[in-house]
Amino acid sequence: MRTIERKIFKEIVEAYGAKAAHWPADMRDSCEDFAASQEGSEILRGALALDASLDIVPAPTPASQVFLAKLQALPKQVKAASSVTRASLLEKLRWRIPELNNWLRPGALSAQGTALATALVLGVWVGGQEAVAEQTPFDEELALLELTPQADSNLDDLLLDEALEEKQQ
Amino acid sequence: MAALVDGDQTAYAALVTRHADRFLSVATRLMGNQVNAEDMVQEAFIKLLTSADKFNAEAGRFTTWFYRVVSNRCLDELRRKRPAALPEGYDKEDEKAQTDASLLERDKKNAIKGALDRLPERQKLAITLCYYQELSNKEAAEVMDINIKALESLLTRGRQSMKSQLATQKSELL
Repeated sequence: MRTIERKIFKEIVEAYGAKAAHWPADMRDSCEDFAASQEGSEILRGALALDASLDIVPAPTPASQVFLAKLQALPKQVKAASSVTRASLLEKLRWRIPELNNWLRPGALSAQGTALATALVLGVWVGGQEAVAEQTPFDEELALLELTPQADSNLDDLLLDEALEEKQQ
Repeated sequence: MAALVDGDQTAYAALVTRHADRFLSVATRLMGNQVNAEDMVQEAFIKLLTSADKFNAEAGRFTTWFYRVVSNRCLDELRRKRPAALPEGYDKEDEKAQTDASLLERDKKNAIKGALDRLPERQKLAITLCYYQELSNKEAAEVMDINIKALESLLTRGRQSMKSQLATQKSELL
């Protein structure tokens, strides 16, 4: 049997009270032995009064059937709520980010769509124009290059024709 | 709990049937009334359903973990919520219908409950877990996420505070 000192027994009773059932399991036996002594019973007396007071406080009412049914129904509600949550995530974001909210207003959506479409068409057109602008000088130069030899050859033909006519005269 | 993590609704139903009462009991003692306690327990069960995978079976028992979930939820609510003003005349009862003995008994109960409610939250939780829920010191310390020495210190201070409050009230009543 392990014995404990008065000081330790007093500390245990001051923390856990006078009921042996509440004492730490590993010290319960030695505490019970000490409690049987006169010193022990004096220490217990002070704690018994507070324990009796604590026991006067009525125990909470057990869970009602209605409450238990509510708890049992929670899985279905949580499942339903999680699907709604996914759907409303965008809705929540709308209110958290004002700019997004403005963009996502039903009325604004068509306007934004029109603006986007216009910007897209303009972008494509401008891009196309830039492509033409970039191509034109090259094409013109190419055309000139193509025309010049032709013009020259035409001139040569004319000059040749004139020379032949002079010889014949 | 493993079955619950896998989405087994029968496992959840069994947990509720077996444990709801004890969690409601600790919540009622902390919150001071059953209506608020039911809200806290319900929120804790919702948390259980949405984050059952966070429970680590190797780290401890389900009841210990869930006591912590419930008590933390209650303490958060108590810190957040300022006590609502009581309606005028809430404590006026038909005293003629009661005998002196029952009035004394009622006053005594109210005084003790009041003393318990006035304790700092952690002291109240320690007494609730160890005295009323009859958790072992190791379990109660785990629920509160403190060591046993700290738990014993809270218990000792809580009991001393109650003793002195009740002694003052007794002398005032007499």
